[in-house]
Amino acid sequence: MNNGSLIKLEGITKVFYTDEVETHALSGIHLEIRKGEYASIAGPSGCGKSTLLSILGLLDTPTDGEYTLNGEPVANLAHAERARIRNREVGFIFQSFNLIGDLTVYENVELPLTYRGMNAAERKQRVNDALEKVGMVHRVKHYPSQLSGGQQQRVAVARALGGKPSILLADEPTGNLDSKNGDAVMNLLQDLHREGATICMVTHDPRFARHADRQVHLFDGRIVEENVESPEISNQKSVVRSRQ
Amino acid sequence: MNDLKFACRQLRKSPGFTAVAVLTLALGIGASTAIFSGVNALWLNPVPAAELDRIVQIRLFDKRQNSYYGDRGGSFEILQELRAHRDHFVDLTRMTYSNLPWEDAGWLDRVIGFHVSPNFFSLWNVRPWLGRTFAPDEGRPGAPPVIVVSHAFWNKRLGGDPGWIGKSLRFGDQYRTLVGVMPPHFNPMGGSVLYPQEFWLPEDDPQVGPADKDPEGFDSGTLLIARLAPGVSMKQAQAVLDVLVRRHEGGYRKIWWHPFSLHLRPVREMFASAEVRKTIPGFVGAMIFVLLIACANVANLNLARTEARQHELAIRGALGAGRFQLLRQLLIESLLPALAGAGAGLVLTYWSLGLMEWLLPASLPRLRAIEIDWQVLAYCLLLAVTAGLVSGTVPAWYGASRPVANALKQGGGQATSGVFRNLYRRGLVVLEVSLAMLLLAGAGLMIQSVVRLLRTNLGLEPTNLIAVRISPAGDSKKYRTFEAKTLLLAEVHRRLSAVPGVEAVGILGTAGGDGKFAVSGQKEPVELMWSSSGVGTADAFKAMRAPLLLGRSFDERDLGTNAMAVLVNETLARRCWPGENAVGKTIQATAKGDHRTFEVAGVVADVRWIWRAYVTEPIEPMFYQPRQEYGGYTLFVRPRIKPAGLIKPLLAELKAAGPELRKPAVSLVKDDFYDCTRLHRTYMWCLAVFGSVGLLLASAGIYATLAYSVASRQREMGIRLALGATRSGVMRMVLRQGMTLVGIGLALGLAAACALTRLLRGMLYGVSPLDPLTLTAAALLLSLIALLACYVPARRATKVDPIEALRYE
Ligand SMILES: Nc1ncnc2c1ncn2[C@@H]1O[C@H](COP(=O)(O)OP(=O)(O)O)[C@@H](O)[C@H]1O
Ligand SMILES: [Mg+2]
Repeated sequence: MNNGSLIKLEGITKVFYTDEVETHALSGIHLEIRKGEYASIAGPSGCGKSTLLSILGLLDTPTDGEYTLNGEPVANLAHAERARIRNREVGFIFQSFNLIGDLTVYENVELPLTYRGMNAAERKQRVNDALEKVGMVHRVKHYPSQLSGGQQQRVAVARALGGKPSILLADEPTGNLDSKNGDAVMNLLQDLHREGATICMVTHDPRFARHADRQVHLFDGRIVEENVESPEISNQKSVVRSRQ
Repeated sequence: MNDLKFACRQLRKSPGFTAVAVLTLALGIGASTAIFSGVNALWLNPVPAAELDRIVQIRLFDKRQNSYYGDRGGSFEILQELRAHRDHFVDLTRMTYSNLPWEDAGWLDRVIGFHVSPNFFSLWNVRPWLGRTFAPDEGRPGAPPVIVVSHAFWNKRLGGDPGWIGKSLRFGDQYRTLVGVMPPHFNPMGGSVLYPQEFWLPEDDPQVGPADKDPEGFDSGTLLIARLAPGVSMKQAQAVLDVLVRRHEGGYRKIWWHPFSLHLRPVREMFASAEVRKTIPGFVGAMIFVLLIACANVANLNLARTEARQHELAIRGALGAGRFQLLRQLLIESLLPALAGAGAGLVLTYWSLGLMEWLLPASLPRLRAIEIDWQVLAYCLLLAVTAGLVSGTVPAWYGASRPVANALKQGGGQATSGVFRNLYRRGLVVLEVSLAMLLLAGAGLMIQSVVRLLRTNLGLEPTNLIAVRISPAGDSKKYRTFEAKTLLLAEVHRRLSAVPGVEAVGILGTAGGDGKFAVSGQKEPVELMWSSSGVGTADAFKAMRAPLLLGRSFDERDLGTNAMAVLVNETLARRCWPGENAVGKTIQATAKGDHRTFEVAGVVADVRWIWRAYVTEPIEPMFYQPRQEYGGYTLFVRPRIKPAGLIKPLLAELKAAGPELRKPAVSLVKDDFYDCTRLHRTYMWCLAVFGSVGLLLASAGIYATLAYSVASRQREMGIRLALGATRSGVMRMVLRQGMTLVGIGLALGLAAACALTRLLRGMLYGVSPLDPLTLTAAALLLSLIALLACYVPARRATKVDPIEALRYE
């Protein structure tokens, strides 16, 4: 793990082939995210934000390029191995919460841990810790449909946290929330960041983008601009290049 | 009306749903209707006459023997006396056995038929196939002789030529004018292949011919039927009979050899023979279960469709549709496919009619053709409405009672599916599996039974064995004496044995009897049956290859009046002298004036042959005398070559040996045996078809439920995959979900099978209703198919692309 780099993308390209049309969703992305960083990704709709996040989260594989996570090359792993790493290293937070309606709050948070084969006692500890962090312990027996959107998203955050992932990936986590609830979730993410979590968040909202240390701007599959807000890391130059 | 129009549009809009629903219901309704058409024609409404329940059969009951004598109803005298009670009985009709000589390919044959009262046909309300039936006065003495023949007679003996109507047919030295041909399904007394009933003669004459008298001289009065006069109850009619019987109390011997009484029963019971009745529980069960499975399937489809339409329903609700209006709309939409399914089901029924006619044993008494009549149509319609309501009510109720506000809230971002709906869906799958399990258990047990039936140890070697039944022609006096019979049999035996390719010819007496005999070592006399076998080269058992278990076979010493050696079958030996050597034991007659004592010379295997013991019946204890002078004989010809080429030369030799013999019936023992398992085989096929349809529908149901669940849980699958579930893990999850339901269904089905298969007992043979092997096999088959049905959606679940599934809207 040289110089604290958690994620390193080199020349990542993603091309979708549909109906004989090639969509270049990502073209030659170079991006490094260090441990403890809070990066936000912004850009117009369709510019490839979600695609980038999917690749970061090992949900999808790049068409071309290198991806190093925690010092391991992960771009071309087999399905099962990707599932394993996703489960241990990545926590997802979605715009539409994506809680499972048939499971209680507790069971939703517990789910990724069961995939890991963790024993029940430890799971319980972790679930409670995570729910405590998001302030939802009192709702463990509730079903998602019984919660407000903001509450659901907090549960989703807890689910992402429970596995103690290396990185939290959030794709427009406030997109489905009113401003009050959206603020609450953003504050929560900020708190987590202060406690040391590495976060990569996609957002439209410039207000929220400003929460992050770094703002990466995507346009048409390329990184076009990067602002480093946080003074303490501003001198460590992040590499931003576009491959032509 | 608007509802209907909209319903049609809805169904057209989702052709996939409509097609599957219609096809499923077509299978369920079609199969049920087919069975109903059979059960209705043969059992529920066997007689096409109006007011069937007022037609009664009068049966003679022997008070000393405490039994009925088949359908015997009493003599012509009784008929005449009843005719005086016009206020109680109308349309009295009587039928007695009769036979007529008939020349067939150089042989004098005998055809079996009936004397009937002239109103016989009109009472049943059966119309002839060709020509007419009898006029009221055609039975009187002196009326010109006429005859009505069966469809088979007309087809086989008259070449199916309609030109014969009105022509004269020769029966021995009598001529009779053919006035009518009955339809093929007209078989009121259930004539068998061996004894088909081929003609009806008008008879309204106390002077019935000698052929119609019992050997004891009683008028055999095969059948006595009447219609109750209007307003007369069964009880009142029975009272009239009781009075009549009392009048004969002193002089009963004129009518019957024991004191007797006359009993009434509804004529429909005549057609519900014990054999047919045994098949009813299985049929009714199969009918209901298959239909229920189909309904469960469609209920599931309906629910899915209602869910997909929540938004539309909510808008309707928002626009002011009341709950009742929504309910009505949804119910109409589930009734329409049910009606369409019934229509398609009728086509299935129609196709299966021919199959049913072909499968039915010829021995079933019946008057009606199995056809689609208004009763069947009404039943089909009833099924359709029931199926529509059963499959539509819960989904419709669900669809109509959703709060409007909920549905209008778009999205929600959850992969939620209500607890109730899930329970309902799973409940339906469990129900389907358990019903399919029941059907398969029934089919399996029946298959086992038929396999065992066909493997029954006949005690003889049936392959290639030819049976030739001979009896002297009815009006030939030539073979009546002992000497004449002995000479005839010797000649027949000599000639048949000399036919090239024949290895052995054995003679078995077809006639025989039963009675009480004192056997050595037992205090009480025992009930035994007896018959006879040829000796030496005419030994029936040698030709049959029935093993001799102990002692010796008959030889020439055993012939003659002083020889008292008998062979006994294994059952007799075991029952009379268990654990002892039967050879040398004695059997003594106990009849009045008959104290002959027989000595057991040998023990032969239990032989089953169809006139002695139908395969499903227990073997009777039986002994064989080395005598050959009884009424009819069966010759068993053991060929060295394929039997087909032997039939002609055998017939030629028989003709040469006994020119006045009645036409011999030649058959292969194997075929005879196979024929007598027909009812069981038919039943097995029906249950197997129902089992397969049930299995098919149930697995379609499992598949559809899981596929729907997977499809509606795409997002959930995506989340799980995103959170680190592996593809094989997701697959296992879906399989587990499906197979858990299958497991519960199997357990319930097994429990139900344990309770219900005993209803099949009447038709089972050699297998217990709880046969573990069959039940296990059925459960395994069902699990296997179910696993396959789960596998396909489970595989589809692993194909979910998490990115695709999680993409917002
Ligand atoms: N599975 C796919 N198949 C084809 N094209 C896709 C697929 N996923 C994304 N795209 C295309 O890739 C581009 C980037 O999409 P996405 O990453 O979802 O954008 P964003 O999240 O920034 O709005 C868009 O043009 C989109 O249409
Ligand atoms: Mg996006």
